[in-house]
Amino acid sequence: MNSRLLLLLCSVAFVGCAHRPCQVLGDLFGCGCVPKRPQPEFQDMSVQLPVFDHTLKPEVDVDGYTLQAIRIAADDLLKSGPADLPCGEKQVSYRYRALRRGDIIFVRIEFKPENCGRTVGMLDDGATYAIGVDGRILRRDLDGG
Amino acid sequence: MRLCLTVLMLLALGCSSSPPKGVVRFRAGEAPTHIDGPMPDFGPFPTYSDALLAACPLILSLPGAVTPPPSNPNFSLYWELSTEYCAWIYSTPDSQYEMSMVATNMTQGDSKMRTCDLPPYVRDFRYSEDSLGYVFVVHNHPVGDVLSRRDIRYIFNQGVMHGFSFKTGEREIPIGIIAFFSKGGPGSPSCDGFFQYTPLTGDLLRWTVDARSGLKREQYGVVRWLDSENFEIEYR
Repeated sequence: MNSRLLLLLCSVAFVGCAHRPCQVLGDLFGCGCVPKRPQPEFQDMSVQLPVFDHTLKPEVDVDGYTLQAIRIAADDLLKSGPADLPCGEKQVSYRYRALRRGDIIFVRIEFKPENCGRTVGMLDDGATYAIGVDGRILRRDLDGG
Repeated sequence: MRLCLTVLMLLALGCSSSPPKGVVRFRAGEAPTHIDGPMPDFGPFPTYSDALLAACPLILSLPGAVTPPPSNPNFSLYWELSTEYCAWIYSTPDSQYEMSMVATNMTQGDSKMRTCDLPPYVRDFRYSEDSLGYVFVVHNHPVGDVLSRRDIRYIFNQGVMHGFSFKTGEREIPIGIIAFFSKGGPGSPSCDGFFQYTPLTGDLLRWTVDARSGLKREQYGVVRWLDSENFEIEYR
């Protein structure tokens, strides 16, 4: 029964939602299929790299587990591509805050209207996650459920 | 078999290309500054309460506006196909109340979020723009949750833009935000009540619709703004 239902879902998703069949099927089978952005092989030598010594005050200093939690939450909530997504669905259009308590990292994600060239947000444009240091999503609370 | 039919029906609804009558779709985060009004075949109403009670069943009956509770075994599928809708209820110079067209985001199914990008201004070609009074932002929460902190912030920002109240005749009408909920599930999405926040008073209210006694009011919290950016909620 489950396999027949899965097949049915896949076929309907292909026929009815042709604009994003890859994502639908990827979601169904538990795998993402967003292509990685190609990077140029040459280096832009006109960009001066700073020296990260004791005089430099970085704007962000993130522990690896916290970075992992933010990445997992962001990828769970919003697609990491493609580039033609509406501004309000791009990961870069959001603000990310994190708080670690023992082996759990809490991540709050909220739409940042300034990144879409406006001052007012949307209704229910945030979510809160609890992510284990092992990368498991322990809780997901979406605004406006 | 019944489940398969439900799945097919829901997918058909979720993948339909043309929005229902009176609904306009915007790309999330890219909504224009204005939304047209009035909603066809809706108003006008002599009071904002009448407009609100008419808007509730209309919005909740739109496709995907209501999901079953999270305990439902097919909840994730319902959530995937759920949709958040939003609109303005506004007053006209004739002291009547109308609703704007209903907005929704174009690609609700592409992320887990259910948001609604409502333009801050209404354009009703019958009246000049500055003669309209902004009363309520109305929207649905598919599961029926209380107002989110982002809802509270949204209407506060709208109050900064439009004013936290406006005067019509002898009455002072405060701006507020409403989230409709239904306990009926997607098959029978009745209007069972709504949550309300009014920045002018700070009150967080839960209104439940009772067929016998009408509307029942219950205060479930109060919002205190510490400055223009930060606020705290005291739940009761």
